[in-house]
Amino acid sequence: MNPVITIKHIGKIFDEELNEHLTVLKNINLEIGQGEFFVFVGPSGSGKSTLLRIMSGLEKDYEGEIVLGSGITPLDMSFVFQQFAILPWLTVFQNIELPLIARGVLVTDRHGKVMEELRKFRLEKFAHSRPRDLSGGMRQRVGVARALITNPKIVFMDEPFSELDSFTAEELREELLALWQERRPTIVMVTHIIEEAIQLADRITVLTPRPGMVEKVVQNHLPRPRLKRSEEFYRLEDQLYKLIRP
Amino acid sequence: MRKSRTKIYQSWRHVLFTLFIVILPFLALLFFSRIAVISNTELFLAVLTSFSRLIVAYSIAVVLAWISATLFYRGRRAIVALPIFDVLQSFPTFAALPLATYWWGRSDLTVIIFLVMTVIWPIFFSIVSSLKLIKRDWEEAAEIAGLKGAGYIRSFLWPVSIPGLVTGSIIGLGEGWEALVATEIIVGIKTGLGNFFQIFVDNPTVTALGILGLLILIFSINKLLWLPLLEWGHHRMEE
Repeated sequence: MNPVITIKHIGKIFDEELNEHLTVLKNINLEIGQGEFFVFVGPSGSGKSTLLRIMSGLEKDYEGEIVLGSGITPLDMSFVFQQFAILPWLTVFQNIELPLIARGVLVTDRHGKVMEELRKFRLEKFAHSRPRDLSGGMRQRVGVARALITNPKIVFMDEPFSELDSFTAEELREELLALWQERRPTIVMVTHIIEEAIQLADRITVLTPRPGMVEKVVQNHLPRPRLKRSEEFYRLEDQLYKLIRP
Repeated sequence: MRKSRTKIYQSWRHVLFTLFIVILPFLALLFFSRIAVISNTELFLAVLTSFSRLIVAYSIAVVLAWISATLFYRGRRAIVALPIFDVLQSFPTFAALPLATYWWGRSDLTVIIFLVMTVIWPIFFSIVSSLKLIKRDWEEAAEIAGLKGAGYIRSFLWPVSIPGLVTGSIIGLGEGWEALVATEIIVGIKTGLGNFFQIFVDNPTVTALGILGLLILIFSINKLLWLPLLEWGHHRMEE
């Protein structure tokens, strides 16, 4: 495996009031390969989101070391937020354009790239709408489009579909899978929905209750597209449930 | 789509009312000049002179307030600086006016410096409060997008600070008008509205009409500029 990100002895302690400390992550070691769809699951409070934030560079105060693969810089990474994090003062077009502005892409090139991404995510009609005029599903489409417009090597996703209704979430999962198969970025996702993890992931890492440690890394060999009602799918689901709730 | 709320002019009646507000201060000034037996040119010049002083002071205050607010709204710098700014804004500036007049004379500079000191604080603290409402998600979205420097200022900091800037400007300019006339009178500068009020100090009718005219002008500016800006600024931050 050619790792794009390696995490070594990662730990995180939150300082609470009155000199109390809360250990949320302890000694986590993992390697994530190029083009891999990697998912973290675990009980509430196991530090999944904190770990993702550490890996993406959003959380700067932690123990251990994050090593990026050769040639990978922070500008090769992007993030999809649970609550979309779409900037309300910008239009859909401008929100998606933002990472290109930051990378100094010329206006003419930017316009073409954004239009292409808008088409891909079926957002053309909403290009000049404000985020407040969009449904949750559309907002997250904007969030994913913004994360993918620069063709990043690593995409972090923090429970990206948990705020959506089940039909919209299913639709977006399928769109995401299609895009991942087309562009092959490494995706590192956190979810609390086991079915989602099985549907998407190549590997699933189960974290223990607080402090979060690696309970088990499960290789998902189910062939794609994955049939949710197949026996193998149920078997894997049972295995993961037992690991999370022993 | 909610378009109607963002339109400033909702109907022809609204347009006519706006035109009336534009004309109203001029009518008030003409009426005032007739009552006070002053030439129209002299009066318009006085209003223009005072208004220019306020605009210059306001522009300086906006630049200083915005830079200071973005530098000191968070982190350790905020812990140190904000209490200091709070003490500074409470400083009774008029107490130092005689000394300033002694240093800089009966000049535009003296009036403008004192106007800046009056107008800057509401703008500064309103921008700070707008910036403090920045959500962690927004900030992280900007960070992960790689926004830095001029791009970060243009696409992130500036738009977020607009509601505070507008609110602070409304309050600051309200105080500014008051301080403008008072400073002009105390400094004893021989041009501007302060000088007019000084001349008619023994004529309560003319003074009252003058104040009324000033209020009409302030009302018109608020209705035409600040209130639509306030609505627009807050509306674009709606999620």
